[in-house]
Amino acid sequence: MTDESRLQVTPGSSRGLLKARSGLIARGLREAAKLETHNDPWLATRRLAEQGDADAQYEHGWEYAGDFDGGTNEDYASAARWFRKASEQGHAKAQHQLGRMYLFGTGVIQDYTEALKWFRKAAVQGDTSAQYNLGVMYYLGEGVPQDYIQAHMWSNLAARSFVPGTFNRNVDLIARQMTPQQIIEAQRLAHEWKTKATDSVRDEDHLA
Amino acid sequence: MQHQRRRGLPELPDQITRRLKPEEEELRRKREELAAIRATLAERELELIDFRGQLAAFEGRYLRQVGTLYAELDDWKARIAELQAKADPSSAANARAEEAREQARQTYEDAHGTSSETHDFTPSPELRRLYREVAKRIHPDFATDPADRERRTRFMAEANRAYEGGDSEALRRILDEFHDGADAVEGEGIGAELIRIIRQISLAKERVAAIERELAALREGEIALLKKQAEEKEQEGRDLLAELATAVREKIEVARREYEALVQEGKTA
Repeated sequence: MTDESRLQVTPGSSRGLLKARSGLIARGLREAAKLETHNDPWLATRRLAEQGDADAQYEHGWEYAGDFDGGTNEDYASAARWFRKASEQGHAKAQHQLGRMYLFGTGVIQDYTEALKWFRKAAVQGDTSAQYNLGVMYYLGEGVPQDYIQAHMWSNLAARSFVPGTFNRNVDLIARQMTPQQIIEAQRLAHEWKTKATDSVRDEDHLA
Repeated sequence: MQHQRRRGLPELPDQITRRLKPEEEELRRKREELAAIRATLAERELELIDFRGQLAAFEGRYLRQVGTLYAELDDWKARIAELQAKADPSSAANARAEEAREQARQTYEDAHGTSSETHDFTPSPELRRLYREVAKRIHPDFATDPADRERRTRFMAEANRAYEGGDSEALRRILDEFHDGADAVEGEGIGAELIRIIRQISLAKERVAAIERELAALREGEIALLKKQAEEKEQEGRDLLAELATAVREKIEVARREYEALVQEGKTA
């Protein structure tokens, strides 16, 4: 009555039908999804998303989210579900969107801690919008104790990546609440982070 | 019995319609339950082996029609990487070339492996009937003791092979050779038989649940997904595997041209 004797009942089970043989089946599935693009892009994305493709999951999330304008709750909940799937695979843009959904309580129950968590994951990957939002959350003390140094650091990082002027207003606003030492500390942290990020990841941005 | 007599069945002699003792009554009920679960289990085993057979057949077709082309494509890619490594013998280029070659080897192995030899699986109604019969009578979950279980497991494994090979003669032979001792164990009292049957019922239920899980896992597997898409295409009058083969052939053509361009470059450099 051991497990072994039970397995022998069906000797065909080890045929490897569940095993991804060097990705050969997965490749066929991806190719099949591509064939669909000529017919139905939505379906093609859907299939790729179901097969675990993070980019497709992110895209598919947007197909539900629309522009976050006039969608139903169910749509937003679906969007959050697909963003989450992509986020869990480390997709930075999806993490940022999921963070936003938690921040505003769209499609999910509003939760600053969750919002902060996903913004941070995206921010450390260099997602500028997430860095910006993370800075604001530190500045306002949402889901985290208020921390001007962190607020300045992330806002500064975000501002540098944007066209000059766009986001600088935030940095200036935060700086007004800080001592010169704090500002220096925040700038040092931002610089350190940037240097580290440049070393590890390819960097499209240029520090002055 | 009073009831029956009043309904006008006095010819039934009392001595053979005596009331069953409670344990006898219980045994009768459990035997019925066991018979029912045997039928269910046989049906589910059949469903599982059929589904597995269909998936394996489809996988074989996919590997032959598309997988072999991927093997060819990966071979071109490996050749390209090797040429590049020769032109620029950095450690990164060498590592890429080795990786590409390894991938090509793996793909070839999978595409030309034993799974690709599986052919179409279309069991006849007679074959299915025989298998159902085998599963009902021989299933190891209806064993009376470990030795019996071992014997049944052996018979069942043989029956699975016979079914997968479409060999109905072998299934008939298995049924002939197997003598079912489960229903009448000598010297067994009612209590012992009850316990045995209850255990068998419980084992059979567990097996049914395990089959459900396995079926669910198979249905979610990559090969089942691909098979489903192929079936959907077929409804539209299209042939997914042929379309995939065409797409991969195009890629092979691109890779081949790239390789040849690299060879030319190497000559002129």
